Amino acid sequence: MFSIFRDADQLQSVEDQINEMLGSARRMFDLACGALLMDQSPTDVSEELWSLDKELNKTERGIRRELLIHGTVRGAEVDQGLMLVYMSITKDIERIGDYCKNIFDLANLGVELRSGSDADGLRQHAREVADLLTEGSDAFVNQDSNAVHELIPKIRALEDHFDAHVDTNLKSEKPGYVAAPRALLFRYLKRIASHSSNVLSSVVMPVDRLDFYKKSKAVEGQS
Amino acid sequence: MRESSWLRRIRPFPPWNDTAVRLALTLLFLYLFLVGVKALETGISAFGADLVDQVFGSVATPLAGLAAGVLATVLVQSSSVTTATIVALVGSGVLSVETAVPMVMGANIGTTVTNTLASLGHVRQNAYFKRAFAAATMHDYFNILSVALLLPLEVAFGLISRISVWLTEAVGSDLPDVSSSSPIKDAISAPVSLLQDLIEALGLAAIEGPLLLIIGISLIFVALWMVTRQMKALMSGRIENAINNVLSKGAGVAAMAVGMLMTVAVQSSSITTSILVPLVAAGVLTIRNAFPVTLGANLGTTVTALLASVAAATSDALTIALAHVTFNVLGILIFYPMRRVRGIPLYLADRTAEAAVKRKSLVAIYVIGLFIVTPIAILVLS
Repeated sequence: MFSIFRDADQLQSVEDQINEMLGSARRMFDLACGALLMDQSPTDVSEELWSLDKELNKTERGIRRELLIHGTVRGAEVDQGLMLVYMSITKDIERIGDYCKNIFDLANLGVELRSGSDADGLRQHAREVADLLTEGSDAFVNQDSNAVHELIPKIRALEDHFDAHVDTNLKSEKPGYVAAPRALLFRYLKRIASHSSNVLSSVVMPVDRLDFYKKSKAVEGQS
Repeated sequence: MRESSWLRRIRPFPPWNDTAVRLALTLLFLYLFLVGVKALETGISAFGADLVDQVFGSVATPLAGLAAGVLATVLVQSSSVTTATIVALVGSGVLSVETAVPMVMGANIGTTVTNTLASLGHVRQNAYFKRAFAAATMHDYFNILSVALLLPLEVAFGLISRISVWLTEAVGSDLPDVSSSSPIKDAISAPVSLLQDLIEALGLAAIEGPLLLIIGISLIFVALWMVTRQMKALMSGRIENAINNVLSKGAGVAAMAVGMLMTVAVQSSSITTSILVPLVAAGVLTIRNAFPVTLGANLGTTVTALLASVAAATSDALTIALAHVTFNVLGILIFYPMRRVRGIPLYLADRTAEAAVKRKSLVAIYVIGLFIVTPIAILVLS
């Protein structure tokens, strides 16, 4: 009975869960891209991917509850800004999971992107996003503002690049079954990169500018 | 500027030395609380018997006692202060246990005003407000229904007083004689004796009673407030953890135990019940799951009267403190075990909240009518 009364730092618990969510999102991306662009079979990865997604959603709900309880119990002591940041970034991580599911859905629907002439290029783009998720996660967990200031411009460049691919595919003369999945994939990669950038922006931007990175307005790591 | 790095964030938990200071302060203020009860008891005893009869004669009827308990608690916003004062009054022999029992019941009703007021913070959003108001008023209804059932039984058969006297005898046989000297009682009495000497030395002996009464009530009030403050700071992490557990495990006896332990820890049922209101308003806790926590808070708040009885000179003080426990235990035994009966206060709270959402003016009528107008009317008519 008394074990439920053990002392606990709820914010530390929220932070730990956010870090776990980042790890799960990264794993979901690997599974989804593995099924669509590598040799993995969708049926082999689907169980793990769906359970990770369920876990991600459950953790998001749990974090919201914990933040509400924290705010209610602590009252005026609460760092309201930090609570808003946590709410915002858990939503971004959950959205990364959703886009990974969308990538997996392409594979599950039988879209074939493993063997085309652009297959290596697609795999390269996926690797870039995977690296970005890993580096972003490290920068976030360590609250490394210098790394964030380096990463976000890279993400912006990637987003522009993916946008250009979406545009090209939408306007291409190729058949729909060729152009449409590519346009969708590039759109999903762009959204994953954007949500990752939103998470990173929390390290350096003030709360009101969360998701709207501008180096000159940053409050951390300004030179 | 926001602390964007959580590693550099000011940690919400105090380091161990801060904890030690807070614990020491808590013990100090608990001691001052007991000194306050003793001062109040001594101050009342110093009044002339005629004056005491005149003042407390007006609460001689059960309904007037009940109304006085409600009103006093609403005014000081703390049932702990009211019940500690009642214990001192009984301890000094001014009030009999039978007269004091309805006052204790009134204190139980009066304390619910705090979370009712807390629910008004959600008035802007109808769905939130409905849930918040229901969460607050279920506490009101539980106490009102308990009083409606138990007060007549107390008046007719002395149900609560008899059980409490029996409990006092049962417990008392294992305790040292409450009227005899003990190191704790001596430590509590010593500052009061010093105060009496000081008052005499200052040539204020003629007003010793009122002076001790004011000092006693002030000490009780400030000491309880400080104990609550210190304990809340010390216990916040544990409370958050406990509520998380209540949410994940649902309602039940465990939730009741959580409510009780939280209240014992912070010495305030209002804090416990007011924490529930925003959680129910936000929809993360249902009023059905919040109900046992509220009942536990009702039970937990009785520990203040039990503590106060340590300072009192007679066993009657312990009896009235046990009457507070008995009343709440009986209320829980009546309204909790059976699902249908448990649903009554929840149903009434739901209906009241529905009506309040449709007509917001009803909220003011409800709060002012129940907590101020009705008790004043009863007192005036008595």
